Amino acid sequence: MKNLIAFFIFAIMSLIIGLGSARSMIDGGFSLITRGGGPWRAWVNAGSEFADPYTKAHFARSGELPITSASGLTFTATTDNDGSRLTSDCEYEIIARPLTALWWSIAVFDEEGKLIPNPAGRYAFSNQNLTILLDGTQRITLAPTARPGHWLPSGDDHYLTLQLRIIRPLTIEQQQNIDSIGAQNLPYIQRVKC
Amino acid sequence: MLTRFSPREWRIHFTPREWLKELRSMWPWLVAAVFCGGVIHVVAVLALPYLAKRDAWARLSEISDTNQMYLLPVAQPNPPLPYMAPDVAYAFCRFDLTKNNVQIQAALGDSAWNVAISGRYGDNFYFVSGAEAKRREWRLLIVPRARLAEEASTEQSEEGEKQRIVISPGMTGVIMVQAPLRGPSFADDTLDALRKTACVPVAIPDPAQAALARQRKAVPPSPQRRSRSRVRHRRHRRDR
Repeated sequence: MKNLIAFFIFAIMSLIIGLGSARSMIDGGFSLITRGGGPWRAWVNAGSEFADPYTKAHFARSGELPITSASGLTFTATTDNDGSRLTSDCEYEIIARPLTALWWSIAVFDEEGKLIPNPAGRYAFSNQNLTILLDGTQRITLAPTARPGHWLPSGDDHYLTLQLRIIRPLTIEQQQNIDSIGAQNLPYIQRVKC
Repeated sequence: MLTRFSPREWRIHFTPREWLKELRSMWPWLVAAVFCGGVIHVVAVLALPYLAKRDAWARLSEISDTNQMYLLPVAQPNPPLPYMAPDVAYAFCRFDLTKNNVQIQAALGDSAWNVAISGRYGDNFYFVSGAEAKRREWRLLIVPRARLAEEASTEQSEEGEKQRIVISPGMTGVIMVQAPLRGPSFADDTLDALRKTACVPVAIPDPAQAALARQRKAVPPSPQRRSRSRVRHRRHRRDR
């Protein structure tokens, strides 16, 4: 009987350790295979022929089709800069500085990666339609109801996911080393009120 | 010690110290559990890409046939893939090279436009953006590695610089053309431009013809010409 109990504990522990750790690392990544700053994380080997098994598993599980990280980077944020989960119950200000890239855009999704329907039909802002303020920043307000300036509607009762998509970072350093984009260049997500 | 399989009995007979003793006696099982957990972890991570039923290929298969280009509406509420950028127009083609090669014809309208070719499991083996392209009109011939020799000796010579051959590591994959929008008002123009992209099956060249073409390429200068040049050379030396 003692051996039976021991085997039962062994089997349960093996599954929890094996599947639990695999799921956690596939969904969230870890420092060797993701880079970023603040709440933003990007999978550095996304779409590469030589991607590590965790990156391959992550994108197979999520159903996304990434372009190679040598040509484009996608940073994802699910929390604000203080570490609180992004929700449509709160209002946020996204403070960005112009990035040196052919094209970049910030879009908001629900937790399943779908767009949040809104009467304004607005889901993203890109470097093509964001104005630069006098202090050199570009500001987006993420809120459920209309706000002046660049308003990104967040709908009701959703957890939110923000994606910053950068196509062709232009400087050689950025192309060679994803770290050189740096936390200071990634947009700051500040909670205004809840 | 345990004599009967009854949790109630355990509570009565086992003090915390006895529990600890029991756990200590189980340490080989605990070590084995950690080791076995590690094996399960590795197997799960390696197997997942091949077992995932809702990966990009499976999701696109639900709405498309192979070797045909599809244009996706911009910012649709239920996109076929998660996290598709709402300010990018997408066209895609699932290619299957088992019976034919596939040619992509694309006109890159903007420097940020790009064509990404990925394998069945999402490995992006070819990428070109409008910024890198030397001309707007692009023609790519996707050929599996096994048939490369035949194509290199026929298609390239016929089509020359107009067509670039892309070697596919597998027989299936996805071609994705992405056209970032300059603004919502440009959506229709961008979609019109994107409609010009095509994904066309191309017949596999006859191996006999390919071999013939290879032979023609490999033929050295004719012996007659060589002998004439030698004669000229000798005459030149004699005249001197």
